[in-house]
Amino acid sequence: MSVALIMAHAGHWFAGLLYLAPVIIVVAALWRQSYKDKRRGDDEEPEGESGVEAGPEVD
Amino acid sequence: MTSFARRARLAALGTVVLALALPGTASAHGLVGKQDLPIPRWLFAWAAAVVLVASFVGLAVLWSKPRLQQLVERRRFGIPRVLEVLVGALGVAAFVFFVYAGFAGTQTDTANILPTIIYVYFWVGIPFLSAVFGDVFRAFNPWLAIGKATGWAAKRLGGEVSAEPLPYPPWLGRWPAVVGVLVFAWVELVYANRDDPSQLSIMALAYAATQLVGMSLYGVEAWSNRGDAFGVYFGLFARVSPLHWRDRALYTRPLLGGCPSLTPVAGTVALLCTMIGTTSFDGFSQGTIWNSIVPHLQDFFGSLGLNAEHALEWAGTVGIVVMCLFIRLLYRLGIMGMETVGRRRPASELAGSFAHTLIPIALAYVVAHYFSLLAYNGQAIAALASDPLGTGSDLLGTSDVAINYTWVSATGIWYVQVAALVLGHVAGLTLAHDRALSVYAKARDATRSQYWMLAVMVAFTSLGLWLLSAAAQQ
Repeated sequence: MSVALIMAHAGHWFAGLLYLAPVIIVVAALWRQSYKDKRRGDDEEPEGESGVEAGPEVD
Repeated sequence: MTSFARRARLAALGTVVLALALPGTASAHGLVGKQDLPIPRWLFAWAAAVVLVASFVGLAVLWSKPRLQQLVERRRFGIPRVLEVLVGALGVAAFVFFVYAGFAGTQTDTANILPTIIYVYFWVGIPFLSAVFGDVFRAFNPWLAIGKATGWAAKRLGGEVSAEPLPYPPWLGRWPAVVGVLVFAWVELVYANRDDPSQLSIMALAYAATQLVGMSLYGVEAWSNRGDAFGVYFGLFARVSPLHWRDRALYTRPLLGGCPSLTPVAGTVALLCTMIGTTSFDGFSQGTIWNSIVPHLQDFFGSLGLNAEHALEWAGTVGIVVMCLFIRLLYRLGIMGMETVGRRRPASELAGSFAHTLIPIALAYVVAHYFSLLAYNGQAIAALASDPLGTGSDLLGTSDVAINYTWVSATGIWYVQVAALVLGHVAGLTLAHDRALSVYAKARDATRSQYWMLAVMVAFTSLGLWLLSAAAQQ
């Protein structure tokens, strides 16, 4: 059932890929940039320095 | 390979596979006519991605300090108590009337005012109003008004004898709202008798009764702030608005200014993902892919002994839950990426800290998906208001007013949808950047942490445009 289902919608797959492509490109670019940042070794943040977790509650 | 990298790759692979397995068409409500676009629809997704990346770069360069974390509100004017009471009473009267219409009116869904009021004006219209004018539903909320009136009466009559409400359990958080929104969406999208006016009236009464029980147990304010699904749902959209109604006064604040103050109690992320997921499923469920999958699911549930109608409902139930989980997975991927930046913070902490960034996205999905419904089907109110029960009356002389499908073209609707999605995601990106600047000690880490939110925003935008573009091809 699943193979037939997949093959029957090859056209939709292609149309879907056109929308998925920018996501893949952005993810790949960011992944690469992140890897380069890590290689540079500037991934460390001093302990105990962090900001807020959430703003004031106003329900 | 680190365990995170393994998990991230597996999750990313799963997301891509799921996204590929689910491409197809979806239909926006009430879309009429053919779109006349200068470029292919998929190019809009590419253009939207470029806008998001440019916004990200712009934020990184120009927005170096948090600006939205400290709420600055200016009081404009007060509201007399009598007006609050009157508006609440109006809400109760409207609720009673619409419930009565559901029972006493014709059971033809298009002729009875109740289905249009619930699905068009209540579910879709109020989010639009909330985003512009603030939390207007809270003023008209009928069960809140009844709860307040009951509390006031109990105090006057019982004095000190009246029992104190139970403390609202922290673990419950916004989970009652998650259940309420999911159940409503299920009724709207899956339930076979979704348009039956008397059934809708029964459900409205059941919901109101549940709210009254919740308020009596945990207190009016505590329950309405956390457990009233519709109050919480509309209240989240109201956080986008520059207007804030509180303490019987109107305050103004920057646009989106109410979002950072969202407290990420239990169920908050689940609620926002459910809001986006149910809207996404609304589109997806009308597409050819879903309609080609659903017979197989129906056969499966039929083989378990269910009749065709219930088997179809179970298939829809599976679809709506899977879509909500898919949205949750996308958000989770962004959080997992953030987890790797700077000093390690637990994913649960980050997920809560950035939950408010999903509010404008949920709003964008609602605007993009339901704008045409409001623009076209919303006009039916002219005829329905004149004959609310569908009994042939013509109280206002407008019972024969027809819907004008030409005031906005299909092309115009497409541009509204694209603009809503792009602006909503840029707003989400802005909120995430601002929060990152306050969470991370170094601006550089804040920017790097947002690589992953950028990816999530691009994914949400592409998903939204993909669902909508397919609708236009129906």
